[in-house]
Amino acid sequence: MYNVSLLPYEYRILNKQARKKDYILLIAIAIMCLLLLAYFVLSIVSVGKHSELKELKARNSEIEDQIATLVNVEELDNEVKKINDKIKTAMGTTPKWADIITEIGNTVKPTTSIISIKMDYNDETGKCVIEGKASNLDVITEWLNELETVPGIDDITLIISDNSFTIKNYISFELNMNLLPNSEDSQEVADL
Amino acid sequence: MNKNAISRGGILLIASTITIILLLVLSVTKISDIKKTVSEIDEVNSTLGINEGRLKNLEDLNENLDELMDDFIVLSKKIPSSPDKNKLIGLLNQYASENDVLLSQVDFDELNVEESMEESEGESENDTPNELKVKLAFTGEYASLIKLLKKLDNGERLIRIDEIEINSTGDFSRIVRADIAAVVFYNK
Repeated sequence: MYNVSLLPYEYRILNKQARKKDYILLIAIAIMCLLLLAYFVLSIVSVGKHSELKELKARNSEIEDQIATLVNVEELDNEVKKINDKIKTAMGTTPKWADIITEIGNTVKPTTSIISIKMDYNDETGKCVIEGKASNLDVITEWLNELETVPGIDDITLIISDNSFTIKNYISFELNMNLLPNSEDSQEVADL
Repeated sequence: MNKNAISRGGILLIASTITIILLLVLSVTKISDIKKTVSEIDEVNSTLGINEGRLKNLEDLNENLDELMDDFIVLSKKIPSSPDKNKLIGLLNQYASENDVLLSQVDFDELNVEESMEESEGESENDTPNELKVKLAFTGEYASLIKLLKKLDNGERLIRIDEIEINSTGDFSRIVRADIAAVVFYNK
């Protein structure tokens, strides 16, 4: 029942050490095998990735060649964009005068006459002054209400400059309003 | 004999350790190589995506090359390379007659032209265009003037109207006068 060894103590120590070395060697071989396997797998992955990269580079090079044949078109397009940008910068947010004047003109009542329209626009702010005559205040009020709906203008104020009734019973008035910046993509090339 | 076996075992152990270290180094190098390749793939993929988009855009443009060329010609005329005042006057006269309006005044701000010329010296072509201020007066019917204003907005030459004053010419007259302060542009 007892583990008795009759071998000399030194021999046993040596044997134990040799066995330990064998184990270590076995573990080392196992690690080596694992590392070899890992290296093998990594090599396969690496070859795959290199091949993918080569393929992509070839495709990219092909596309770049195609682009090179169309470089003149690109230059022309850039030139068009550059001029268009210059036009936009030059025009800024200047209102579409014809549209605003037409819209205002369309709201004028039959018994109202316009003597003058003054409009100016600079640095994103503009003013409009309309001088005219109307048969009565109701007509002006009605017109004012319609003017409120006209796009491109706001903050309309009315000044009755002369309410002394003339022979024709006309009232002189002055309308002041602000001109709003043109919010559209100003001076579109579509206008071409 | 035992000693030989021990030393052989030791050599094997040392050789295995060296091999393990070598394999580790090789594996790390391989991993780093894969990482580099993957990063390159990402980069090329991104470039490829951009180039594919660019090519598609260029192919579309190429299909509409005639239209693009027309746009270029029209836009180039909008901001010519010189003030070209005579041509501008001719153009304004043409617009006026096309819309039954009379062009009664054209005044260029000469000082402004000289200043602009001086300023533009040394400036690159990419800078904002030079401005030439001009005062115009037209007389005609209200509806005709509106048509003229539309033409000025979308005409051959780029004209920015800064001020406009429309006055009736008489109590019962249908004719109105429009005084316009405008700016035209040129490149050099």
